[in-house]
Amino acid sequence: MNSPSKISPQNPNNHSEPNKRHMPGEEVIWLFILGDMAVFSLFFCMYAMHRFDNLAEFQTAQAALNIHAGAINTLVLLLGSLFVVLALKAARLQQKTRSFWLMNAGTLCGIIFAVVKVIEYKEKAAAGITWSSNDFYMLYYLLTGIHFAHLLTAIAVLMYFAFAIKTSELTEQRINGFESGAIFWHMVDLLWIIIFPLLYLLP
Amino acid sequence: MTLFKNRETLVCAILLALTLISWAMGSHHGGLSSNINIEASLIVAIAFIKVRLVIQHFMEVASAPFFLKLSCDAWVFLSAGLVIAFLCGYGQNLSW
Repeated sequence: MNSPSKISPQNPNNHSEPNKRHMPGEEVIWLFILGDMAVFSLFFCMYAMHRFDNLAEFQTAQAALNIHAGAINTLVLLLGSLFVVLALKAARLQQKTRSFWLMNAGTLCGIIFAVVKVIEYKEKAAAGITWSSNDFYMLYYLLTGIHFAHLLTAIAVLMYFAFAIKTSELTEQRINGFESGAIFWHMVDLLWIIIFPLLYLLP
Repeated sequence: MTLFKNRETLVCAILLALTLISWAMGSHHGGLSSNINIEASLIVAIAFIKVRLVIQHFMEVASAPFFLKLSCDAWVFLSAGLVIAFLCGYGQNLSW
């Protein structure tokens, strides 16, 4: 459980004091996050095994991916994560305007990622590549598709937070909610950090 | 270091730099090692280093209770170990 008194506008970093451990977000969000990450780990292992067994097929299929689009999306998500971290920091300091705009910048990064991903999907569809083309693309659409669904959820969460920052008081309870949302956003980021090299970069 | 006046900006700069290194490795295979397993392991290891940085600094697990830090580290190291092992063929006798 969180101790609401730990964070205050007067001392927003109180939780980082030595010997005072701070539980970021709600405990239940961590159960969800760790469970979700465990499921993705199984997908990553499944992908790695299939890749070893069908290396030539995977290398040929992977060569058709746009590595630069994947890399740009990684950079965009990392910047988005920085904006969300800074937005949370500003919220703890009761800097509503700064927090609002930083949260919107994070949301924009998510939208840019989604647009680039949709362009990639369209390119694949135009080239006649679908999830049933081969094992690589089945796993490609599985991993990126589930990640995309997470991303859309995270964008909606950030948009709600931007709205809430603008319209309501930044109470400790609300900031705790922001922390949970920020953790979900960062999970979306870190999953892509693994998906990108697995699908686009491996030799 | 006025550019990196807070820790999060510095961490983000490191993450961006590691991404550029991975991007270069993925664009020019064989640049660091001609052994496919070594190169694949390096690329995956860099990814999990980035993941741990995100967990520790962006998700604020570095200052979280011990059990949460342990759970997250267990996930990072176990996942990284298994993915690298399977990519190198150590799981070929297993079936899904």
